Amino acid sequence: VFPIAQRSGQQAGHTQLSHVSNTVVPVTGESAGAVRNALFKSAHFLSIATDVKGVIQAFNVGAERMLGYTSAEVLHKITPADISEPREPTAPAFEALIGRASQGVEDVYELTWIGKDGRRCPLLMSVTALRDDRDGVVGYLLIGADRAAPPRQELDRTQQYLDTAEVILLALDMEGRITFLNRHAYAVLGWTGDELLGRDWIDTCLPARIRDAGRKRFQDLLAGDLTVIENPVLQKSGEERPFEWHNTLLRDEAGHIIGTLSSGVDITERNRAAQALIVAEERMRFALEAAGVGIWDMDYTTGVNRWSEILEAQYGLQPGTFRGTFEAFIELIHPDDRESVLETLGTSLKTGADFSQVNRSIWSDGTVHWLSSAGRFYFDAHGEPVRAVGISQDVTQPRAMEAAYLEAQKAEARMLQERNVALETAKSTAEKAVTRLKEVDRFKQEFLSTVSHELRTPLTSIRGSLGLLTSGAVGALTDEVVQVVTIAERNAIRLIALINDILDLERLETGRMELQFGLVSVVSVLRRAVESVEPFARQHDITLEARAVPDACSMIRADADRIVQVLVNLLSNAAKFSPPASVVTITVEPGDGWVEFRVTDRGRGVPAAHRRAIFDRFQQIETSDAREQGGTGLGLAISKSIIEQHGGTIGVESEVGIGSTFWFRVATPTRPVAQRLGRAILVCDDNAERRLSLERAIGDGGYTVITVPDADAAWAVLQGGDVAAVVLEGDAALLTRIRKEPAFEAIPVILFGSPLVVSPEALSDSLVLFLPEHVDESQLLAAVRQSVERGRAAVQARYVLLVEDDLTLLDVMARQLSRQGIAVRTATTGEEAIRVAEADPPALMVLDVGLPEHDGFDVVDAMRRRSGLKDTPVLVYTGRDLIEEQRGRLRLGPTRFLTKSKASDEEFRRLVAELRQIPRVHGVEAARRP
Amino acid sequence: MKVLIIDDDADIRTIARLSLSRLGGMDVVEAAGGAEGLRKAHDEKPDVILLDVMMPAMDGTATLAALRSQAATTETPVIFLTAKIMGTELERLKGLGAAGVLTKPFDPRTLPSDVRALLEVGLDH
Repeated sequence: VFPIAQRSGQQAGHTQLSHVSNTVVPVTGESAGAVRNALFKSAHFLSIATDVKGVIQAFNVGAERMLGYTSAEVLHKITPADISEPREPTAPAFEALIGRASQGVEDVYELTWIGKDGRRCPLLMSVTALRDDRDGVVGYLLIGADRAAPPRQELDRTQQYLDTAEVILLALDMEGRITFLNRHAYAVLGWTGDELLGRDWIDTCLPARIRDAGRKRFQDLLAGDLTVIENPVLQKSGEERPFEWHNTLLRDEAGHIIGTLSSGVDITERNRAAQALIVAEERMRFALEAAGVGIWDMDYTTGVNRWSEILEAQYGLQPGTFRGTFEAFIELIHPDDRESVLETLGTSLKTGADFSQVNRSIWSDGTVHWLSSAGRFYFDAHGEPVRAVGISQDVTQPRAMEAAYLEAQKAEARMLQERNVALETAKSTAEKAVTRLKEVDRFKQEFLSTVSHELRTPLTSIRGSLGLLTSGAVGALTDEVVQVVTIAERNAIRLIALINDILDLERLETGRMELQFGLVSVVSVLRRAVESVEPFARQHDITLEARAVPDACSMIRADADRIVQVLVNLLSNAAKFSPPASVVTITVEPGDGWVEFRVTDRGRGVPAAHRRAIFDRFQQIETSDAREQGGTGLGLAISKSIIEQHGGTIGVESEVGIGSTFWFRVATPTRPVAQRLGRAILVCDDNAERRLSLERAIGDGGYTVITVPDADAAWAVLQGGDVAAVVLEGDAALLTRIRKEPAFEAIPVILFGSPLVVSPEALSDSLVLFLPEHVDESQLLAAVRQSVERGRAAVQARYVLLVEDDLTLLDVMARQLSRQGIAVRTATTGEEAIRVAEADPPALMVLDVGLPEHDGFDVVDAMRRRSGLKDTPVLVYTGRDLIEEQRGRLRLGPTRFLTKSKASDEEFRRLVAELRQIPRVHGVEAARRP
Repeated sequence: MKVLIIDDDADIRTIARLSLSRLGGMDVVEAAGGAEGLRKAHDEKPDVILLDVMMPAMDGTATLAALRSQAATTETPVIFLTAKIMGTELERLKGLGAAGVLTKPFDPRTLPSDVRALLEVGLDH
């Protein structure tokens, strides 16, 4: 290593040739020889030795490599003129190169030589005079290094970095004197090479206050401590700049340390950034603390856990008293929460994910505080935790809770709102449409009602006036006047009928016609209808003939007035279309659950094509007959609507030229669906001999006996529905099976054998009798008789009374329950309900509230006063919304409420099944109690 | 027999009056509203009152109640006159203690006999 010096300035007359003057470094003795030899062997440095005139005497491998000439080619030539591109303006004359060197000053130039192949070779070159022993100049040594392309591959990485980066490159000798400073160093320090080379670095370039430390540091460095250090440098101007120094030692060929090489990086910016970071952190800390957020910082390398004062306060500690270890932290946590905290931290440690948790702390005063915290672990390159930081907030405070709650509420509300927007839109659209329809409908109804009333009032006067005129009450009239006035009166009457019909039809079709259902005598409605039409029929010489009504259809469940209206309509139509002196017959025939009324005329008949249409509005079959003029064309439409409101059907059978029969069907009263208790005694026994003897014994008592050998055969017989009681030989399984089937639950069972084999339910079953294995015939018969009686009583006691004035609904309910084998009786009015219940207490009453002739409240009131009925279970099944006070008034025994529109059929059945199983304190069960 | 007709429609009153007087030979007193009817019922002591249901101000139901609370007319039979109505309304009116209900429009030729028939049924009770 040899000292070099350089300067970036330019000397006049030397373009691109910088000229740096330097003090002579004596190159003498062994050291000089060693250096010369080392240099001459180097491939990295160009070395050319010349005589005093520039004639090349030696040309080393470095020169060969850089300039492309072989040593042989250039020996004895003059350098640089002979070996340089003549046109190269920068190529200096040899005299110029050696100008100063000849005077004993080493010259260093930056110059460009041209290689053999024309390649430009920017060189940093020093020219030194070679002297003999008497100090006479004998030649020159030119040593050059490639400026542009240092042999990178052979420099270590640090040097590469130092060459190119904006760093200070500093070489010191063993005494701390500056032997080299790079260009950047001069720029930074503000000195020139002349001023600094050979000076003491520490005294010159370090601030006074750190010089002592610097000297000690320099000795440490020479001793081999290569620690990176931060030291400011002192600029010539007296200002300081912070630098970070990386150091290495310089050795000679023998490996002896001859000095140090240091690179310094300006860390002003870094420090500023670091400072800014500190300020930012401070601000953050301040903000967090102002918000009551505690901060902690766990250093894993030291094990120190630093807590902010706020955090200490959150754990009930005085400022500065937290002991600062992980263990101390765990001790402050509520014992019940420690495990979960450790688990949370453990998971975060394992996965590297941020953690958050809520845990309690117990203060020294015993109070418990809820803390919510979040944090993060930092790991080194090996995945080991080096640090963990986090924040903590006391969420015990009501304000914090409230804020969190409000926030949650807001979020929820937002979510719900979003979710409901579409739904609401759809709903409101639908609702608007419905509202509009309802409005239109209401308007129509109001209009019809108003118009009809307004029309009827003047028509009443017109009709009355005409009536008075034709009666002669206000004076005698000529025949012609009577005739005209009669026409006017008849049409006034027809107009009134038309208005009434329109109103009726409208009411029927919109369901606003309140039908008054009740038990109606068929004979009475027939009589009323015939009486009403008789005068008209007689007028046309028609005989109305009502045939005898069979017993099976003496009653119907209907609105009597409406049925009369239908019959009147059909009868008057028949009278209109029958030939004079003919008979219109009315017959009534029983059907399966209905009664069919048939009105038969001897008229012209209805052509098949018209049979359906005649039930439509304003469909007159014929208009030629004068008798039809009284019709409104709405009669059949109204009749059809009325019958349909009854759940019935209406139709016509006709043969053109012979006559027509108009018929309609309405329901008979829903009869109690008796649980199917037959007459036979079923004996199930696998022993043929015993079967035979039982059959004989029971048969002797006058009973029909069916014997079967096993359960499956018994089941088949039971399903046939003709069984009054079952006698079993110890088959408890079959007993259970029978009881599970609703249709068979009221069938009495006699079981031979021990009661111990049956279930507790069977033991408390009043319809199960136990008989010892050996009984005489009379004991057996007594048991059979008792069972059959109890079975019948039980069927009656277990019926469900359905009280409902809506016949359609009543029918649906009755069918539903009957299908399940539940006995049913019905009542359509409050009065009827009370009567039925009094005669035979029901197991359960299903009660509608709005009823004709005493509503649901009255029914409950009446039953409450009867000791045998006051505990009756009730299922109030109504369309009304009941208030609590009303519910109280409807309670009898165990009472449930079901809203018609809201309850499913399944719910209804389930409640009925449940309620009717409630044991009653009267009736069969009560009688059985010892 | 003296009949008081309470109806706000003058035409109806006229027809009823002519029918009852000319065809039925009855004495007829008219009133155009409930209040006037009460006064006339008190003053004239009719044997029967024909009372319209739908009237402005004091309707038939209110008038009947007032007649019942007035000593002179407590027992006077009242027959409602009403437009064609449904069964429930008919039941309601009967339940108020009227001797009967006649529907409008009525036939002037049969009105006197209809009134008499209702009174006879009422007397049987």
